[in-house]
Amino acid sequence: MHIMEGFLPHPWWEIWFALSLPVVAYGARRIGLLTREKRDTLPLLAVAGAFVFVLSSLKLPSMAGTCSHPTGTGIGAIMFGPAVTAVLATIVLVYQALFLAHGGITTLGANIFSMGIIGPAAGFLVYRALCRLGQSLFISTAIAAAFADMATYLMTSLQLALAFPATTGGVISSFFAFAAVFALTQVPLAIAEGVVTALIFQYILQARADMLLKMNVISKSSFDRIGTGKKVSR
Amino acid sequence: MRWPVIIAAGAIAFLAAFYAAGAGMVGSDDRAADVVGDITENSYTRWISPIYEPGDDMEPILFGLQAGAGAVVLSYFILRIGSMTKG
Repeated sequence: MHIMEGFLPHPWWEIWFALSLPVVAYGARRIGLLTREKRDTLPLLAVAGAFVFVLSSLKLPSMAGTCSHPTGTGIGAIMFGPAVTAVLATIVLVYQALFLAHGGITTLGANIFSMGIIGPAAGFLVYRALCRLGQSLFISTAIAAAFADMATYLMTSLQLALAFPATTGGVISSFFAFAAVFALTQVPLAIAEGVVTALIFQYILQARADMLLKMNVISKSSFDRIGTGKKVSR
Repeated sequence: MRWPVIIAAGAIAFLAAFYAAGAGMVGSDDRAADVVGDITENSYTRWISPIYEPGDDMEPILFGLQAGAGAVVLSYFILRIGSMTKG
């Protein structure tokens, strides 16, 4: 989903920076609060951050000879919300821009916006909605993480389409051209990412359901049902 | 606990796929750059290049560093979270 260095002309790269930075600043403030007031949640924050690190380092094969990366942002979004996840994504994106020439410094704002903000926001909203509809936590987490992944790549397609509208068909035609590259490639990876995220979340749920309850990630009724072997919904 | 086993199996499957990816694959980022070329009829040239671009020898190492650092932190805290229930 990386927009490569120098591939966003003025004024787009500045616009995406202006939209992303306040969210990252807010997320950093929230992490500051966690380190001062909710230190017991820090191991979960480390898991969420490391998960983004590992998953976004994987270059996985997909359709038509194309390979791409999962994002790993779903679990952070579910447990800590999009703003905190934006900070985690920023760390990874800076590393990849500086050392791997994946993405870039001028396109960092746009890449943070897609991978760190829109993807996690989509994952967060889908998780909450599915839980409310009574879906199991496993299904809710898997679908939320897959949505976070797909939303990231669709946002990247839109960002490129806005910067490079087609001569005929404009932004919409461009969007489909970019989405044909990014979104189609991503479908199998998003499904795999959803399943892996749900497995990790299930592990955390079994180990620290009390913490997830305290963080308002699961409901009291789900907490009460954990361990009884019944289907768990939020 | 059956979850660690399932997670480990999933991780191994992921890594196997990762290594199998290897040659012949084009990154979706590069394909998107080709689309930019198509749309602009190759009139767009990037206005700034990456400060550092790793060679073919360094790229797997730097990607591996990212994956390795993440995996170490992830395993440590996953185990720590797991041990918390016993405490």
